[in-house]
This record gives sequence, structure tokens and C-alpha cells, in this order.
Amino acid sequence: MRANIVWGTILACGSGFLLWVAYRPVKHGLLDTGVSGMVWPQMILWGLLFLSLLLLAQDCVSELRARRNRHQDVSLGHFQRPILLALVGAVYFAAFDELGFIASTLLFTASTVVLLGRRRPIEVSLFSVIFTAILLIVFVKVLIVPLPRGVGVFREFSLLFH
Amino acid sequence: MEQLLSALLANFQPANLGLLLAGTVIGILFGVVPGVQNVAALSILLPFTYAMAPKQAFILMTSIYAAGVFGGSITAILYRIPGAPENAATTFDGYPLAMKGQAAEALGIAITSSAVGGMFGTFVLILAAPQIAPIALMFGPAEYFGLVVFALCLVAMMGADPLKSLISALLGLLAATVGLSQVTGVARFTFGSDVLLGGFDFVVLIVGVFAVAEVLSRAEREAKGSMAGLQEQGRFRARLPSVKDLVSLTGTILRSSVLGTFIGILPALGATVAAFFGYEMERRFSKHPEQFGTGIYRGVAAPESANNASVGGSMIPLLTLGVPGSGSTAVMLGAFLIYGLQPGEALFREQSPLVYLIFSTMILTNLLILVGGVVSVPFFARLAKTPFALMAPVIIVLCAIGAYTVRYNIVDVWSMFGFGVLGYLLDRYGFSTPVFVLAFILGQIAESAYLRSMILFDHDFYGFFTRPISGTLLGLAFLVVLLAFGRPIVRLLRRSSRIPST
Repeated sequence: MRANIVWGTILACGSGFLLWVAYRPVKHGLLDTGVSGMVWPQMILWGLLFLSLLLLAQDCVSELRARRNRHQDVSLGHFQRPILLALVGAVYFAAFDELGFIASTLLFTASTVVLLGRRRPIEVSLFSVIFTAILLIVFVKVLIVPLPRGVGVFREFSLLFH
Repeated sequence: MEQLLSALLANFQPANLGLLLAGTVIGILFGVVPGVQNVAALSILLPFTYAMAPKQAFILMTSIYAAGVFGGSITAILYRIPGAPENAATTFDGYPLAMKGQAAEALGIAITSSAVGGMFGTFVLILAAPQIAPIALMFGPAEYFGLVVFALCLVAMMGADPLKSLISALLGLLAATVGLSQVTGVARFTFGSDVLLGGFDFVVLIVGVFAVAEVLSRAEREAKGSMAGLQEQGRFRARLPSVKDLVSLTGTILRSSVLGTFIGILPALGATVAAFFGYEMERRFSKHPEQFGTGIYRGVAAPESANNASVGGSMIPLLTLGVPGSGSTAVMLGAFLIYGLQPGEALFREQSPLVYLIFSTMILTNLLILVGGVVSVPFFARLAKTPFALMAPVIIVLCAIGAYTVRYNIVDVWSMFGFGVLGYLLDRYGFSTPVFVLAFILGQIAESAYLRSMILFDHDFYGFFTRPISGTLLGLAFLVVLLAFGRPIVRLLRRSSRIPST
């Protein structure tokens, strides 16, 4: 229930901010159609603001009732694993350009497999290497997709396979 | 008929046949793996279809879509874990049958019912779609605006929480406004970024919201232990039903197929609702409703024929009016847009070989399920046991490559990741991701139709109500919203009127 209040607040603040952006004067790009390009986003944002406030009001009332009845759900569940997975993913995407596809995919695959509970080093390393090799063959050799090659020493490493 | 035959022949060209087989296998595979839905398979493969000819891309996409609904029944019967929500109703009688030692028979019935139901839906599609397509000619911008608003309202209001679904729809519409306006050329919400001028690519959004979010959701479910139990049993066989059993199930399969096709045509309902309705209808009209849930053949045949029949039904509004009613059909619409094809009357007139190729692919996919199902069940049942720890990196890396190849730009990979996290959070807190994606895809159509109509009506909104089709559709949309929100308001008013005044 508290999560809904957070959602309602974020959505209301976000739509309020974007409404402010949408009502700022447009400097360029207005074609001679007689209709502003901001009309449609403004309509959506007003709707979003109204519904977010409705959600917020509805959940505040429910939260008050829940407190009165001493039924509070404060559990965040098993949130840690997806957060960690998302963090590993973010590091992977950040390294995509710098380390190149091969090195970053090897590291990402190995760390994800370990994070999700497979700990045997042979299994982890074999899976990472074989999977990356298959991707290399399919995308680089067969489909000739120019995947990121990285910079510096990683670029030199990538060029061995590209 | 001639066109259908030549399309069937085209399907048998080696490359096309290979794609048909690959699509069927991928579709069943993604259906089989619990927690990873068919729409994720379509989303992951969508960027890779760029490199294909349109016909080959649609053979792959259609076979994945048509086969995916069946796949989940294997784990639903063997492990009581439906591979996808549309197979949840199959667990009611499928698993008890497996417990009685009749897993092979239950799987055989699921295969037969799925194939017959899918075939029925496809034939209705082949017969009905060309008749309905000319209706699209009556649609101008005002009518399209009305149709999009009605479809979105209907889809949003069918959700568990109409308020959150409506918010999801508005978020999707808002995401579609980022970038240059198609009508006026004004830059919106780009905050000075040149990359955002082109807006978010729908492939990037679809891959993020459906595939990446699915991996994050499943990571959470795995941590909770709700996917446990899959490793425990191992009965991997299927046996097609005898002629006697088949005759006794004919009525059930036909009734459920008709119902499933009809439900598929309606936006928002889809295969899951079709399966539950099919099951419930059979139970209600049965002479022995008490037997349902104890492990009877009809309890498997009804949901499986209904959910597969809904696939053909759901293709009717997509192909004739360009309005998808579910996440999977939204991705299919995305595939049409990649090739610059706009579903509707013109598609049937100018691209009829492609349309008939889609029809023939659906027929052949259902035949493949029937013929190959019995042989492949052991293989797919084993694949369902693939550890998530190995599957998660595979999916995320494929998503990253898919997003990167859209424009060879790392920003697209980050956007995909951002949409993945957003999709996961939306899903976790009861918002609707299919509605979000649907609204994003329909957003540009809606905006351009709205602005063009307003220019046509000289900026008078009431112009929409002077046209019968747009007026009716907008009126219906209002009614749908009123019905969804009206009931709680009436309940609240009644409750407050019961409170005695002091």
C-alpha cells in the first residue's frame, strides 16, 4: 500500500513537472497547421496528473484504514535479487562500449550465473565461454553484425575474433 | 483458395520451412519455460527480423505466436506449473490426470485440442478477415482516433485494477510523444538531447518491457521459491487420444474453439480469458460438473482448444483494422511497422501473398503441433528444467544485442534497460505492461489522427461526435470507463447513505 503512495507521488510530481515543460513556449518547429504540437502531450499529462492524484488519495485512505485496523504490509518481498541482477545488467551495459562485446559478455554471463546460484567454477566458466563463442559465430561471423569492440587493449583483443 | 494454396507451397521452400520449424520450436520452448512468456520470444526476435525479408520474418513471428500458447500446457500437466497464464486453467484437470498416471493421455489431449482449436481459429480468420478488411475504408482520422481510444479504454478497464491500467495507458501514450511531433515537427521532452529527437524506438521499448522485465520478475519469483517443484518429477510421454475418446471430446473441442475465437476477436481478453471461459462453460453445461477438477479429459480439452483458437481470433482486428488487442499482437503490429506495412484494407489488396502466407503459416504450425507434439514433448519437458541461472544471461544478452542493432547506438541499449526496469516495477505494483506497450504503439496513430481531425473539424472537438462511427466509438469508450469506475462510486455512495446522519 505504501508502494502505491510512492507511485502516486512520483507520477503526480513527474506529470506536474512535464506539464510545466509542456507549457513553456516552443521556440522552433511549429508548422503552419494551426495546432500546437504540445496539445496532445498536455492532454495526456493532465489526465495522468488527475489519475495519479486519484491513486494517491485512494491509497492514503486505504493506508489510514490499514493502520487503524493494524494490518500493515511493509514487506518488500524478495526484492534483492532483481535489484542485484539489474545492477549487474547496468554494469554490463556501461562496459559494453568500453570493454567491447566479448569481454563484457564473458564477465556478465559469469557474474549473472554466480549471482543466480550456480557456483561451480567449471560450469560457470564453460557456460560463459561457450555462450559467448556461439554469439560470436552467429552474430559476428554469420550475420556480420558490427558489435562493440571496446577501446585500447580490449579493442585489440576483440579484433582477434572479429 | 488459390492464394492460400500458393502460400502453402511457399511455406515448403527450404528456408521458409526452416523458419517455420524454428518458430514453432521457439514458440513452444518459450511457452514451456515457466515465467518466460511467448511475448518475450516475439520481443527478443523482433530486432533480428530487420535482416530478413518480410515474408520470412512473418513466417517466424507467426509460428512463434501460434505455437507459444500450446507450449505451456506441457508443464501445466506434468508439474502443475503453467508455462504461461493462458495454460493456468489446464492445470485444474491436467495435473490430477498426471497424478492418476494418465499424463501421457492428458498431454495427447492437450496436443490434439490445441491443434484443432488453433486450426478452427485460423479458418475463421481466413474466412472473416477479407470480409471485414473493407470496413477499414470507412475509417478516416476521426474514426481511427475513436477506435484507438475505445480499444485502449476497453483493454485498460478489463485489467484487475482499472485505475492503474488507465495510468499505464497514459504512460504509454506519454512515452510515444517523446521526440519530434509527426504532424507539427515540434520537439517534445527531448531536454536538448539529439538522440531523443527520433523518440523511443518501439523495438527497444518492447524488448525492455517484455523480455528484460520478465527476467527481473522471474528472478524475484525464483528467490521466493515459487518456481520450486519443477525438478521433482519426470514423466515425459504423450499419447494421442483414441478415436473413441476423440469422438466423445468433439463437442467440447468445438464449443470451446468457437468461444475462444470469439473472445480472441475482442480486444483485451485474449488467450487466458478464453481458456478460463472455455473451462467454465464446459463445467457449467456438464451433467457432472463435480467431476471437473478431479482429472477428466474434458477439463484439458476445453481450455486448450479455447486458448489456441483465440490466436486466430486475435489476428482479425490486427490484420483488418491495425488494432492489436494484446501484448503479442502489439509486437506483431510492430513487425508490420518495421516493414512499412499498415494493416487494413490496403494490406489485403496490395500484400495479399503476405497475408495468405501468415494464414498458411498458422495452419502449418498447428499441424506441426499435432504431428510433432507427441515426439517432442519429452524434449520440451526436459528443457523446461533448464536452470534460470543459465537462461537469464542468455535472454539479457540477446536483448542487448537486439536493442543495439536497431541503430547501432548504446543509447538504445540503455533505453531498453530503463524500460525493462520500468516494466518490472509496473508489473510488480499492479500496473499493466501490455496496456503500456499497446498505448505506446497506438500513441502515434492516436496523436496524428487527433490532430488531423482537429484541423479537419476547425478545432471543434464536437466534430468527433458528428460522425456516426467516431461518435459511437468514443461514446462506447466513455461507457466502458463509466462502468469500470461507476460501480465502486455507487458502492461508496450506498455505503455513505447507510451512515445515519447526526
